[in-house]
Amino acid sequence: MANFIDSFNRGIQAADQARANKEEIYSVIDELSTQLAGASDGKLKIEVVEKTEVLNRFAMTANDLFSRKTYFAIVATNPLSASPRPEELARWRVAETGYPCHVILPDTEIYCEDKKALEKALSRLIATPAAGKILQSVMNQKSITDDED
Amino acid sequence: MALVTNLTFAWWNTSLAPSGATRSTPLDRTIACRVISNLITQVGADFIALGEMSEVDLEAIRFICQEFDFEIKSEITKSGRSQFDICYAYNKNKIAVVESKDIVDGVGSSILRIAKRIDIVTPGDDTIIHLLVSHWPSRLYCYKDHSDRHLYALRLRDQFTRLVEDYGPNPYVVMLGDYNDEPFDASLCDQLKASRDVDLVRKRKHLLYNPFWQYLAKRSEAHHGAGSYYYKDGKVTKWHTFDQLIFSQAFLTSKSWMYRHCHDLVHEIPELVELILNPKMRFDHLPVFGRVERISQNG
Repeated sequence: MANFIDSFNRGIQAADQARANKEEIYSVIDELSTQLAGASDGKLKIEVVEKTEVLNRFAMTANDLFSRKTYFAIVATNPLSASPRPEELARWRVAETGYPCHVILPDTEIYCEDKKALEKALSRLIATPAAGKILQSVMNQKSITDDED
Repeated sequence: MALVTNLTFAWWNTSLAPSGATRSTPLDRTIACRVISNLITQVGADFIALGEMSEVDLEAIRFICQEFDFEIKSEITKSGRSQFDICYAYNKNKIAVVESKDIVDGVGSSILRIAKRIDIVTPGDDTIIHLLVSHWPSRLYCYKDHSDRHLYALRLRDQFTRLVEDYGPNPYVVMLGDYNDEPFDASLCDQLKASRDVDLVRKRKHLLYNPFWQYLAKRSEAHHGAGSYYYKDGKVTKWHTFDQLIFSQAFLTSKSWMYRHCHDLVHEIPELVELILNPKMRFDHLPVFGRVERISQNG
């Protein structure tokens, strides 16, 4: 008779490892968010959200509408904004096992095999001029307090 | 504009600037110009990817490319502590470049430079051909069977999977470069899934076709070399087949572009072979190439 117990134990162990990896990955993104919030007087929050591909309005068909793809992205939001508009910094993918996770920029795709590599990739991401411009525009979104003034 | 009927992709590790730091002499650069000219006129190359290039070397070959109406682009970009050392030249009457990007893998504080992805199209045709140009590290710095060599192949494979997800189940992908691994090494065989078996690749979409299995030895006495790379201190063999082109299944089964079987994919220019065998010269790689043809729409 086949011994399923070994396979079962391996599956449970793999699931535990994947969960631990993902917790570690999202703790890095939370840390980035916390640090940027501190540096921007609470005007920046970094998170991963699911988005839908933008279609070309002039060339789309009914089929395109029904088969629109979704993807995950690292976005910056201003929690103090009167109407928060998340702005995309990079596309994002995570393996079922957690690592590698994948930061996708227009000119570079970075696979990250571990926490240190992810920290370096996120540092590189926010140091680009394109990201700097996006973060500035998010911080400059009209805030709730601006309305009160 | 008339549809392009064939495309020839070539790769040559020039040895002019390892890791992008130039060490070439004016004579070396003149020889490089002759090799590029030969690839264009004798092989009919339309896209030539060049490894071990620096900005100085790129400027030196610019005029020869312009003479043939080729556009030359630098892909020398900083990556981690080192840089990509790749440039490419292409026939601008047959090819337009849609985009290019770096594919890298972070392992702790190290960066593995997996490939340059260059997406191209031909006039009057929306089909995108995705080129993944690689120059993986020498075995002197990353020894044979080092776990990183598997990572290089796994992440290149991930790029292929991603192209399948983004562009449909059977994308046109050509991988080319100096892998510093042989076609039979586990990285290319098991991780990348680059097969020698053209019939099996026709049946199985996930496999890639590597025609360079045919170049593991001297093919006849008339040939000068027995591979693409000459390592003068080799104990069992001095010749290796580290430079390869690998094709996705689309090029074997589609109704648009087809891989064309050629007899000699390692371009043995006799004068270059002589230079490679000369221990005083820096050159140690022969150019390699592969050709695809458009299937006639009229049957």
